[in-house]
Amino acid sequence: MELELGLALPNQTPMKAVSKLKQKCKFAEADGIENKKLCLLLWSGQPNGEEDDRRRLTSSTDNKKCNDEENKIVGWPPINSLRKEMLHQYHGGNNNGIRNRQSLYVKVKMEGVAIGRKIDLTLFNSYQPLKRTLFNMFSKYLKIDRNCSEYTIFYQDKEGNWLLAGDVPWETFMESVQRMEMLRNDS
Amino acid sequence: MAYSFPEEVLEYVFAFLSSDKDRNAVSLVCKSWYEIERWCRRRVFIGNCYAVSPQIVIRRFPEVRAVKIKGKPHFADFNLVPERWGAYVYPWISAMARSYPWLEEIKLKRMVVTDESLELISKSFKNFKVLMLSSCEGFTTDGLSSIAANCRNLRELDLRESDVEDLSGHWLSHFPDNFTSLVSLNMSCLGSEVSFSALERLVSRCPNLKTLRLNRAVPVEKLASLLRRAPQLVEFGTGAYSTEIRTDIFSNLVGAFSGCKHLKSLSGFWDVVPAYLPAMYCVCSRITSLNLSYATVQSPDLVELISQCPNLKCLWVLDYIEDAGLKALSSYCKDLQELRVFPSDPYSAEPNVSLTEQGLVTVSAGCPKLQSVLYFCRQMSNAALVAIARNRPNLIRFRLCIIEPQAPDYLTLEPLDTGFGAIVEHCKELRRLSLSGLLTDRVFEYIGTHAKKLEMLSIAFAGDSDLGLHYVLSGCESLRKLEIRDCPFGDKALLANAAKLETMRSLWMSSCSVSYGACKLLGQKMPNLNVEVIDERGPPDSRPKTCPVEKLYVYRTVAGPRADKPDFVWTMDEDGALRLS
Repeated sequence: MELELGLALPNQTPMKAVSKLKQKCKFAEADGIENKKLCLLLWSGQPNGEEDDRRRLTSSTDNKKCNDEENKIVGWPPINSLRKEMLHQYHGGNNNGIRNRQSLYVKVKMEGVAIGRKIDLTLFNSYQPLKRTLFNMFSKYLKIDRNCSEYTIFYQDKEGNWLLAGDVPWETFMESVQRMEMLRNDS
Repeated sequence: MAYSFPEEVLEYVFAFLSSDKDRNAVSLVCKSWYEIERWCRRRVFIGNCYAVSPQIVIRRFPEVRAVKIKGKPHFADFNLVPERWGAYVYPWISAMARSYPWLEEIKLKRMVVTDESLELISKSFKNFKVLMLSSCEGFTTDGLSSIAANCRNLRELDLRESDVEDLSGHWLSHFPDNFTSLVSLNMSCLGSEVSFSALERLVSRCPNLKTLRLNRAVPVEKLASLLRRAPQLVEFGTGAYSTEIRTDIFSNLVGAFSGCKHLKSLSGFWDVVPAYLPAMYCVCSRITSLNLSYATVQSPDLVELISQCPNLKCLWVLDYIEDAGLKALSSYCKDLQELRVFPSDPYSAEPNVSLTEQGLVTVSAGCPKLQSVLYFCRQMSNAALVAIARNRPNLIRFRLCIIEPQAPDYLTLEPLDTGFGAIVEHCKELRRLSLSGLLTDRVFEYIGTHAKKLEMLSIAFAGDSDLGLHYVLSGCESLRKLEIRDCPFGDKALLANAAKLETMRSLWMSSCSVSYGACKLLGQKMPNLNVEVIDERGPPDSRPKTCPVEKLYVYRTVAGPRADKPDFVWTMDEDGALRLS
């Protein structure tokens, strides 16, 4: 960089700084399109030691290690709201994007996993996507094979009976399910 | 010699010019060419709705038939632009309703569109044909009812990715029984169910229907009926592609798909049950575009499908495809031009799929026509980026999002400067670039030196100092749009390159270190720019001049400061006074 050093002193107003610079250098007044060389501040192009310390993320990003809840950085990663909504639904998370629905959160436990999860059943309309979502949710904690064949899903109905999920029509299931459990087939 | 040709001849010749650049060049030749050209310009593209006023456009081009207008800055897609920021289309519609009675097309992107605007459109333009609302908001299905009911010659209604307040599905039933001109309908972003019989009748009576993108509420068992009524479809988007697997539904669907000899593009696929994917195999050999980015399906099922699509040019998919799936893609789809891989679980700390930088390297090696990439992943290395750059010097768009901000090269723990440097050095036609990962000022030096055709650059959590911004603004000759968030760029580079901003469409900087004082100075000295400070903490005057502003949006304009600013936006004005709306 061949520019002349011409930083204004910190306690000067910007207007004063500009007039000081005018005396020093050859740039013309701003008159719109013509002047390509206009600069409002001459600058050596060297990073100024005390001002330009390597900046790190602010504390707003310290929480990025997680929990499965939404990341604390606004707008990151850069995905749009339609896609975010789809992901929320798929992972059964807190969802305020679904219109015209009342949620039905039930607890789900998986054998071998200490922490249970909650899932909003109104996001589904059949067993297959529900099963898929459940296995995806828990696959973080345990290695599960792709066919999900090692586990069976049971649910507890209003009377307290434990039943096999998939045995009754979906609507019946939705009306009576209180909680769910995924048990290993060999147990 | 211009004056020896009668006007009609010149007008006839100019009609062959479709590109705006060519028409702009023609209008600079001489006064009479300017006059002739402006009377015969039929299409206008306004890249920033605040760069010009409706009155100025109408005054210059009195016979326009098609407008395309863009509103909010791109980062609005990621919630970085507060609500009520602006980009209202109503003033445009109202002005055009008076002056362009023969308007046929309106395409809007990231604008606020009200039901009132839609009603005005539907009643003002007798020959209205095309309405495309891309990532727009502010309207309800009532507005769509007006369009359906009143636009007798409507050909296209495309609501892609708009945020519509869905009051009911009844709007579709407002298309009159004698309405038959529909060519394209994209309602994929809508939530509620439309009357299926109304949809069936609509599809049946529109013989020119080429594009039909359904919304999620249309179940799989209804698809066959629609496809059979529209075997001429070229683009089709399913609804939720899930239900308990039933052989009758499946075979019905197979039969319906096999009747569609012209299908080239498929999308939709929410909640996919993989067992239904084979129903589409009969059309796969002709498919050139596949949007599986909502399909929560595992890699083997994806590979099964993709391996049947040798003519695939464009693939959007979730990272469930994994490296293995991308390897298959690179061997089956040699015509691939565009690849977008979206994250399936971006908010968790640990990866949920086996998708790494390797997948992208493999595709870059195996697909010689690849020119457009959008890739979300969790690890990257300089070596991989260098390989990609060497494999694919024909890249035009390269957008990489490493999910963790400031993630270094995972092999060497170094910044990714060299890798991205290789991209801009080898890919000489690169027009769009999005950076991520750990990056120092050095990467911007490479970009400023090599990226001479770069038009749009997105930067996040990168750089060390103003030098980085200076390299970009002083080096990137073709730069039109620059968007920056959370970078340590301040006053110096901005002020030193003030003139550059007049050659660009816009600059966005949020959570950077630009002081209020610098913004004021920029606004004072550059009358052809609107320098807008967005700050939800209250008037910038109430804080020291050295205090950094929350967000800054600078754009060139011939319309002066805008009059519709909300209370958290300030235009830095020529006379040094703060201008509120």
